[in-house]
Amino acid sequence: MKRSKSINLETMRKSDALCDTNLDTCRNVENHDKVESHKKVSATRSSLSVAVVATFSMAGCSSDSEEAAVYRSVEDCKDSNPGQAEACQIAYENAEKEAERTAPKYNSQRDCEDEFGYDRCRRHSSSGVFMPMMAGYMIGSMLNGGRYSYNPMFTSYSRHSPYYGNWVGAGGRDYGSRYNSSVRARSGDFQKKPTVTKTMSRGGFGSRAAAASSWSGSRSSGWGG
Amino acid sequence: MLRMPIPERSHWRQQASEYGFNFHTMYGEPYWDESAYYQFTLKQIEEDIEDPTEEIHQMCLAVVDRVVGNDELLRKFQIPPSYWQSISDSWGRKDPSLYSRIDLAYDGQGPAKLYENNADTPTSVYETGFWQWLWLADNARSGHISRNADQFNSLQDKLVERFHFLAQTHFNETLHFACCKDTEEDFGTVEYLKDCAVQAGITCKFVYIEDIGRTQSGEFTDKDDVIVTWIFKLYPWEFMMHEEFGPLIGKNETCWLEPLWKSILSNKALLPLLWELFPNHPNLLPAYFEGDARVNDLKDYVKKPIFSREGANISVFRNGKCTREVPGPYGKEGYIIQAYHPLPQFGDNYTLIGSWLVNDKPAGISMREDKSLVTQDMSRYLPHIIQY
Repeated sequence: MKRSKSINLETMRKSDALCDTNLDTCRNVENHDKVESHKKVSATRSSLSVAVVATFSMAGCSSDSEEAAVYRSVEDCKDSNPGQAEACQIAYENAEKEAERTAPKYNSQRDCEDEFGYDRCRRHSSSGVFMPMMAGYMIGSMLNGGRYSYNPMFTSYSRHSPYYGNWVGAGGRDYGSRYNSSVRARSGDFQKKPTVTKTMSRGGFGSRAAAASSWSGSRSSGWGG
Repeated sequence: MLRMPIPERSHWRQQASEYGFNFHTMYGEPYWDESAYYQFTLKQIEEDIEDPTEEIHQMCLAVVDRVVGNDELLRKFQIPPSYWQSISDSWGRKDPSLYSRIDLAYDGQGPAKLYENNADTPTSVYETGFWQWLWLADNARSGHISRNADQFNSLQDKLVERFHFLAQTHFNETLHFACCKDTEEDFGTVEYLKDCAVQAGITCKFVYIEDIGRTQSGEFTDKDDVIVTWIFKLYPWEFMMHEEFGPLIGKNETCWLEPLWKSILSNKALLPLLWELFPNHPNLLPAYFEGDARVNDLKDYVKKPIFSREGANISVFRNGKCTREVPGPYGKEGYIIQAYHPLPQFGDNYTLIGSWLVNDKPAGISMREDKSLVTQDMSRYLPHIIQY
């Protein structure tokens, strides 16, 4: 046979594609999280609660969860895992790197401290914007096919933040009181998260298309060939 | 190779809206045309199209290898010098590609002749991989076409398989898909590729080309300020290289589909280079850069801009006189000359075959018909079958 063996027509349907849409929603949980949590970067505090709600409303997509340990420091990790000093150090460094990449970013120190508390923010190493300092790190294994994964954890000391006193992940997920040394983690928590940043300018691509289409009038066909 | 009339399926327009095929009619004219189909033998498909497609593609890759790192040739390809190193890096790293379409002139016998290579932004992938597949399934079911009939079209299977493979080196990474605003056909194409990627388990997100942003440190971002690390763009490299964000290409962490080295393949300067490296190959037409003395040996020829889309700015010369000229905005980068080899005619129609590749492997064909010798964006798409 020289043609595709079988095509699942349900996945190709667009108009009443319940199944497909659901799938997409599930797949995009992380992105929705990001979109919502990102709004807080533009310093509207009320949207923080939106982020939390969004996270919980999506919780139905995955029922896998595990108890994951949260450590406040490398020392804390070593105390709980004697003989694992090196693993604790590596996990900490990986979580720090992940924090650089995925933590919420703020234009000013004030905006960041407003959310996370006085003296709890620092400059991002390369872009110069502000981000909360990592308050701890979570280690999980079961949900990631037996591989260890590390997530940075943050916490807020700002009384008017909805995260006050709680562990919070880079994507805005609230894990409950920071006095707990373990939290309930879902498989999605350990998936690679997109990097969040500040955009300086847009519109740097597409000008040639605009110029060429003004020659041929409006076109709906496009720039493929 | 025959052109066979067939009744249209009564429900196809409704089916099109169910499946989101919204560009079957463009500018008020039909684009998808199922009033007829093309019929091939298996031998024609395998020996005259499939095998030569793979061979032509390999020859094209040999040209890339020759051009990369050769300043004189890169200049002839009109590639800005600031991109030479990034293109060379992309080729040296073997940055993976997704797909290509080469255009062939073939009338059922003799060698198919290469017209050009759409290696960077090929469209009509949805119509080919899915829509004509569905047309055959429907007609085999209703008995209008023999149940034994087949189609040279494993495009969707191969695309999903390719995405599976690509996902291995982009573990848990989001793949962005981009095209320009207000382009229904491009949007449909990108949505289809996105569907294939989702079927391969990849997390996908759409962003318009015009909405791509940059950070202070030079990373690309989407509309939600998420860094774009891996992106499929249905937008030509030769445009991007001359735009404001162009200088960031290859300098930040974004991986591109198609990769940067494809800018050498989707360039008409490829054609004279192919003829130089593989002279008299049965699937090639003689081709030269404009100004080459050997052009004088060609009685009839076609003049094509180094960069152009959908037949724009192509002119046909017979006995040294221009007999047909398509207007358009392209051509300031120069031209190439290709020997005249008219498309075969079936009734009133000139027929062009698009032959698809996914990851260097032939994956099916698409049929385009035009009332004119030069296939343009108003040409129609017809399905095909293989009759055993």
